[in-house]
Amino acid sequence: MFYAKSETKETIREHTDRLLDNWRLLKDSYGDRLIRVNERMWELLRLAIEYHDIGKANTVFQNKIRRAIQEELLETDCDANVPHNYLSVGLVPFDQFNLTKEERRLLTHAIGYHHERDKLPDKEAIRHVLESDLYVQREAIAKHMNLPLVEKLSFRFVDRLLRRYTIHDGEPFWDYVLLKGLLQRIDHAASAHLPVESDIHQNVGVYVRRYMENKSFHLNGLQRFTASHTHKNVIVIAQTGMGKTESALLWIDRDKAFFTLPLRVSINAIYERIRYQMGYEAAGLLHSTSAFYLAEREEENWEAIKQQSQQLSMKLLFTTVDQILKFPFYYRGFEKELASMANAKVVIDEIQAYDPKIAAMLIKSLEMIKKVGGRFMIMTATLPTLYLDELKRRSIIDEEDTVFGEFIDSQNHRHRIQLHDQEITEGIEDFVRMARSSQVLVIVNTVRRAMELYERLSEMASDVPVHLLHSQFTQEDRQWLERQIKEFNEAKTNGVWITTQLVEASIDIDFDYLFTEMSPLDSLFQRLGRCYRRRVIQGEQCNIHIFTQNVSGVPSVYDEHLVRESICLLKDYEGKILDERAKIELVAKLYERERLKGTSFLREFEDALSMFDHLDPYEMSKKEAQRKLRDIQTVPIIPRRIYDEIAHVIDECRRCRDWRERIHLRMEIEKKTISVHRFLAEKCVSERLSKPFDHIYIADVEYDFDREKGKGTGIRFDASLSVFY
Amino acid sequence: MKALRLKLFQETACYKKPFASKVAETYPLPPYSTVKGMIHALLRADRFIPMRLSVQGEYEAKLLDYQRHYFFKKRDVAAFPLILDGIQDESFSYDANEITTMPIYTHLLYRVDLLIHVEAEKEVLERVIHAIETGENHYSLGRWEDLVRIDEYKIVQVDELDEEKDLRYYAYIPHHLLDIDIKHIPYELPWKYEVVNGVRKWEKVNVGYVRKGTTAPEGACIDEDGELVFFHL
Amino acid sequence: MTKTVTMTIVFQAGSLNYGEGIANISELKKFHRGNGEAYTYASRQSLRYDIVRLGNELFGWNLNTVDKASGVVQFKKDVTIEDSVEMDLFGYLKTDKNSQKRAAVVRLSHAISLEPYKSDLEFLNNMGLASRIGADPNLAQIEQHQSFYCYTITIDLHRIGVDGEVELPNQEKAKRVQQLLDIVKLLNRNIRGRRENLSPLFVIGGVYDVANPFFLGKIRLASSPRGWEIEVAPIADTMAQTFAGRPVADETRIGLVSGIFANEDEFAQRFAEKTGSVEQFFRHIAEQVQTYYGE
Repeated sequence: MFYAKSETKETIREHTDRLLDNWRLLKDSYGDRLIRVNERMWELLRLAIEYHDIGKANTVFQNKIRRAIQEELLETDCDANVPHNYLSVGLVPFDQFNLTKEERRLLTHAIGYHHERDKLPDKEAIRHVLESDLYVQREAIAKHMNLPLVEKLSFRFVDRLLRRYTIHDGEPFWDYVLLKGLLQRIDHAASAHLPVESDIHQNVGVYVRRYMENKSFHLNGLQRFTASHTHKNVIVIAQTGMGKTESALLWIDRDKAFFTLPLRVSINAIYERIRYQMGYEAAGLLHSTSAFYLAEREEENWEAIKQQSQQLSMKLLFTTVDQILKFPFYYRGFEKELASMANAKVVIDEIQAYDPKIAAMLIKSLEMIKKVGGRFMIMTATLPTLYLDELKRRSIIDEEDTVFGEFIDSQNHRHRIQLHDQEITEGIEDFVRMARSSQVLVIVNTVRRAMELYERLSEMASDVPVHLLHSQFTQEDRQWLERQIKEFNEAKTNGVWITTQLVEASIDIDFDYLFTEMSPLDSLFQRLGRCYRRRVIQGEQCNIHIFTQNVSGVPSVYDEHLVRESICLLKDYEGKILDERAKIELVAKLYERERLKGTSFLREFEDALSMFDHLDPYEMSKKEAQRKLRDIQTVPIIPRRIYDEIAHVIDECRRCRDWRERIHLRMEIEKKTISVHRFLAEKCVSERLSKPFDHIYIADVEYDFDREKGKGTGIRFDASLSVFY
Repeated sequence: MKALRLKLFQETACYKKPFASKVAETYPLPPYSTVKGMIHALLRADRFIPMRLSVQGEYEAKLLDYQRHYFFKKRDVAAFPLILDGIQDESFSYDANEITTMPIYTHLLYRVDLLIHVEAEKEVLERVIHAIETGENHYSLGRWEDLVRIDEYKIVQVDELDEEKDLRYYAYIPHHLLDIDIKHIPYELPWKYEVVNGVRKWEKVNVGYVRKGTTAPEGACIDEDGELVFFHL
Repeated sequence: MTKTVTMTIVFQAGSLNYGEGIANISELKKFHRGNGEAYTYASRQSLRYDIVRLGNELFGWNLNTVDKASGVVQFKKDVTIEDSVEMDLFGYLKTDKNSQKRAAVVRLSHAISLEPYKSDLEFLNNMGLASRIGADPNLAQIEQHQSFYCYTITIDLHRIGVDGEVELPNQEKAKRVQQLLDIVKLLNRNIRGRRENLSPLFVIGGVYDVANPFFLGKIRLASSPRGWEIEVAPIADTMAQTFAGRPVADETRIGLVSGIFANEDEFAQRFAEKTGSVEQFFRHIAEQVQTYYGE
C-alpha cells in the first residue's frame, strides 16, 4: 500500500488513474486543437503521468502521510527528505521505451519538475534514497503501480535536470513547455478531483445568436466578420458601441477561451451579461477581487466557479492579463499557464489602455501563444502603429493566418472640435453659461486640477449644480458618484460634472458639451466618446472644447512630447467635424515609431521587450511575477477619521471564524479605502494596518464628502489633521 | 595505455583569455595550450611533441586584482618601463606618444589544485620526469609569476571506464565525450598553432567545463588509482 | 648540479596595500575565500617595490640607469644587467623592433593575510580645518587590517647575472643574492605616513637541487587558548615528502622569532636540528649560496 494523498487517503495508483482519466478527457476533447501534440507526444505525456508520483513510495514520504492519517509508521533507517519529483525520474526504465535522446530529456524534465522546488536536486541525497530505500522495494512498487521499473539505477538524470530547458533549445523547448504544462494541468485538476476541462460541448456562439434573435438584433458587419473567421487570428479596430463583446464571443464560438480586459469593473459587467442575461453557465471569473464580486452576487456555487477558474478549466474565462498572460516572465511554473493557451483562444480587448510595459508583455505573450498553437484576437478602438509594427516584425501576425478588419461608422458625425490656446480655467464662464441649459462634462488630467475647478465653480455659481468625480474618493463614495453621474445623465438634468480620465473607460454617459484639457490623442478620443456618444451632431456649433495651455499632469501623467505632437496633429481640424476614421488615422500617426523617438513611452516599451527577450528563465516565483505587474504606483489608504469609525469592523473581521461572514466584513473595510499615488501617500501616512490588512495605510488627512448633499472634494492633502485631533 | 599524472598547486593563477581587453579574464582551468607549454618548457623542446592531455582541477576563490598595465603605442620606443620604484625623489613620466598606462582589473584564481594526465611516447614521459627531478628553474603555469608547486608525478595505467562514476574535480570534457544534455560551460580552448604567413593560426578544441559531482560521460577513462581521465584528442 | 632557493615567509603588519577607493573610503585589496571570510593582501608588485627601494637605499641599486636628458625621465636603452641589479633579479622588457625580454629570476607571490578581515574602519576627518573656514568636515574612512601575512619567494640561482651575451663573475652573482637576502630579512614599507615592518617572524625553505616551492600555500594559522599558532601538520607532511628520491626535510630549515607563536616549542622539538632563529636561517641560506657560486 503506497499512499499519494493524506486528505483523501488515495494510493499512488488511484491518484495516477485519476490523471489518466483527465489525459483521456483532454485528448478526446481538444486533441485536434493541440496542434503541437502529436501521437508520440500524447504517449510521452502518458508515460510522464504513469511515473510522475512514483517517487512518493519512499518510506519517509509514506510515513509523513501515515502520521497524518494516524496509521502505523513503517520501519526505516533512511531519513533523507528528498522531493519525490526528483526520485520519480530515477525509477523510470527509459531503456525499455525506445525513446530518442530528445524524448528522454523531455520526459526527464517533465517528471523531474512537475513540482518546482526552490532547492536544486542534490545527487548524493537522491542516490541515498533511491539506493537504500526505493530500489529495495522495487518489486512491491512495480506490483502496486503495475509498471515496469528501472533494473539498474543510474544517476545521470540528475546532471540532465540541472541543465534546464530554455528558449535557446529551439523547437524542443516548446515541446517541453507543453509536456510539462499539460502534466501540471492534469495533475492539479486530478488532485482537486476536478475535470481538467469542463463544459467541453458548450458553445457560447449559440447563446449569443439566441440572445440577439430574442432581441430581434441582426448581426452587424463586425459581427459577421468575426463569426466567419473563427479559425484565424483576428485583429479588429472598431469604435465603441459596435457590439464588440458579441463579435468576440461569435469568434470564440465552440472553442475554449480566455477573455481579458484592462478593468475589473468592465470584466464584472461583461460576466454579468453573459452569465445572467444570456444564461451561459460555462463562464468563469478570475481577478484579484472576483471572489468578493461572486459572493456579493450571491452566486450559489461561487466556490466551484472560483476553483475551476483558478484551474483554468472553465470553457470561457473572463479575467485580467496579470492572471493568465504573465508567462513571458518565465517564472517557475510558467509552463502551466502557457500550456493552457495551447487549446484555447485568447481575446485581448482594449490593448491601447495598457501602459507600454504591459503592452510589451502582451505582445511577447502572443508570440509565445502562437508558438504553442493557441489563437488570439485583439480588439481595440485604436491600435498604436508601434504595436502593430512589432506584431508584424516578430511574425506574430502574417498573411496566412491573421485577418484584419476595421469597422468604423464615418457616416454619422458626432464631434466638431474647437481648440483653445488657453488654460482650462479660462473656460469657467462658458461652462457655467452652458450648464444652465444643458449637460456639461469637464475632464482634466489631475485630481488636484479637478478639485481646484470644483471649488471655484461652487463659489461662483450657486444656481448651477456642480458635481465632482475623481479617483480619490473612498471606493464606496466613488461607486456612488459613478451611479450619480449616470442617473444625472439619463435624467437630462442641467449642470456640470467635473471629472478626470477616470470616465474614459467603463462609464456609459452621453453629455451635450465636453470641455477638456489636452491629452494624447488616444486618451482624448476616449473622452470625446462621453459626449454625443449615440447622437449625430447638427449645425455649426462645436460640442468639444479642448484647452491646450498649462495643461496639468505633464509630465507626471502624460509624456510632454506626445501631448505636443497631439496638438500639432489636431490643428487641421480646428472648428471642423472630426469623424471616426480621422480619429483612427491620427492615433496611428501619433504612435509611429519615428514620431515617438525620445519619448518615455517608446523607451519603456522597448526596454520591457528587451527584458522579456533576455530574461533568465526560472529565476522568479509566480508571486514575484504577479508583484511586478501590480500597480505599484498606487497604495490604498484610509483617512484617519474614517478609520476610527470602522476600527471595530476590523477587529470583528479578525475574530470572525465564519469565512463567508469574513468576506463580507473584508469588503466593508476595502470599501473605505482610497487608492492614491505612492508619492502622495508618503507625505501623509502615519501607520499601516496589521495583518491581514497590512497593504492598507492610515493617512492623517481630512476627507471631505457629504453623501446627503452629494458634495465634497474627497481627500484633502492640503488639510492635515490638527494636532488636537 | 600509460600516462604521466601530475598533481600541481598554485596559490594564484591567471589563465588569460585572449581578446579580453578591459578586464583580464581567466579560464577556470589552464587551457591545453598552457599545459602543453609547461611540458615543452620542461623538455626544453624547440618543436611540437605529440601528446594527449586531460585537465581537471578546482580553485578556492576568484579575486580581482587592480593592476597598472603599460601599453606601447609603437613597436620602437626610446624608453622602456623597467621599475618605477627605488629611484629616490624622482617623479616619473613617459612620453605619452610612446607609452600609456591604464589600470586593469585582473581576475586571479586563488589556491588552484590541478590534476593533469599526459599521454605521450614512453621516452617523452621519462624525459619529463627527469626534468622535474633535476629542474633548475621554478615552473609556472599561465603567467610567469604564478608559481607551480609539484605535489606528485607518477606514471599510471589508464583504461576505459565501465561503471558510473562522479567527477572528483571540475573538468574540461572535450566535445567528442560530452553529453550535451548536462549542464556545462562551453569553451573553445587553444591547443597549438601553426604559423601561416607570419600569423599564428590556432587549432582549437571544443570542450565543456563540467562541475564536480557530475557523472562522467560514457567513453571516459580511469587511471589505476581511480582518477577519471578525459583526453582532449 | 644546479641549485634553487625557495622560502615561505610570515610577517605581521597593518593594512599594506590600498586598491581603488570609492568616494571617501579607501579600500584594502581583499577577496572572499571559499569559507565566505574576506582576506586582504599586498600584491607582489608592492613587495617588489619595497625590495627595490631598500636595494636603492642600502646598496645603491639602480642609480645610473636613468636618462634625464630629454626632460622626460627615461630608462636608458643601453642599460644591461651589469648596470642594474633590479633588471638582473626582476627581469625587463625592452620594446623595439626586436623586443628584448628577460623573465624574472626572482619571483614573489602575493602576501596574503592569514587572518580574516573584520571591517575595521578608521575615521579621519579634517574637522579642525573645516571649522576654521566654516565648511562641513569631510569624513574619510580608511580600512584597517592588522594581520599576519604570508608570501613565497623563489630564486633560480643559475640565471643570476646571466643574460644573453652578458655573464657576470660569480663573486658578483653571490653578492647580489646576498644583498637580496639581507633586504628580505629587513623588509619594511612606508604607507600613509606609517612604517610597517615586513621582516620575517617565521620563515621556512632552503636551497634545493630541484625547483619546487615546497611550502607555497602550506602555512595555516590557528588560534589556541595560548595565542596564535602556525599549524604543524601541513608542514610536517611536506617535510616527510620524498621528491626526486630525497626527503624534502633534508635541505629544509626553519627560522623563528621567539615569543610570537604559541607553539614555537613544537617546531623546536619536531624539527630540532632544522629550527633556529631567523638570523640563523638566513646565515644558512647565505652559506649554501656562497658554496654554490664557489668561494
